[in-house]
Amino acid sequence: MNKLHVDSVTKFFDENKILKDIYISCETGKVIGLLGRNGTGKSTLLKIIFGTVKGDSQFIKVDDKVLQHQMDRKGRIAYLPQYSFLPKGIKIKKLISLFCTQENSDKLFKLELIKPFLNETSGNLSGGEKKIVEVLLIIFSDSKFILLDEPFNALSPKIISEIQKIIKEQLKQKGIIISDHRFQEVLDISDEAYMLSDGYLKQIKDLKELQQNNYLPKSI
Amino acid sequence: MMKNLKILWIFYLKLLIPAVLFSILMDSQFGFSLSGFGLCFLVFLPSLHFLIYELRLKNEYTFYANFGFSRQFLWITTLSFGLIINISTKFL
Repeated sequence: MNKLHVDSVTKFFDENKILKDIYISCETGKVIGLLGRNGTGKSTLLKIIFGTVKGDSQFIKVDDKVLQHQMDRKGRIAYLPQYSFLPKGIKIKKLISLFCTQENSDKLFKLELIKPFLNETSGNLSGGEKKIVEVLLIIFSDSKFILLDEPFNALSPKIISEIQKIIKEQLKQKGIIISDHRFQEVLDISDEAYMLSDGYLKQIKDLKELQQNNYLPKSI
Repeated sequence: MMKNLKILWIFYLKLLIPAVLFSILMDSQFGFSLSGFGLCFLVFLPSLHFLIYELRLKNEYTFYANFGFSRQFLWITTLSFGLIINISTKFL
């Protein structure tokens, strides 16, 4: 079993301290849900864990390896951003073989969700189709921990349900941190859920706490 | 190792072909010489890196980061490659 340990993450934007000494951990087999209002720093936290944004202070470790450089994250942490990130001219089947091990590539090639796009390039796909491909590539990648930033955005309810099933299947080998505004879908698959508010991370046990923290309207 | 080279090839494919073509074109304006080509290449490769990846395809840096290649690493590689070609053409 692998463990991701994130500690002492602090981030300032100008004078504004958006992340205040954040601690979060994840281990193989667990899904951690990350919720929060717009602009509270969820994506920034995921980017700091992934290494593309540097925190003002941070300590990130996978098992015994302290992650300092991007190369340290290779094979340990994969990240799905909110935006489309695949190079446009490369066929999806070639990207699968780059992201995944042989075993996972074979699984992906057989998956009905991705089959229609195997011979397409990312540039020829619609926004939703791109999202399906990107989510699957990252979930099936050979990394121990997966960070998903708004994976359900632009996807239809049926596709979301299939992605949720796939996430659960992949948990045997991975730990996942997921952030999305489709809170019910996030809570359905999460073992623990946290809310980022005023720079602090608070554990959430039920919907009432989301209302109390001003994330959900009182009418829900 | 092979996978790393494939990823870098995907990154540099968009830069190398136009950098070589522009360098040949620019150098031929001043009477073609290898050292002139090397100098043009040293200017065009980082310029194209900036235009293509910093201005147009900034999101693609996340793709390369997923394979361990940071933006900083890719910039250092571009500048080093331009310098190596520039220095080698001086001795040819």
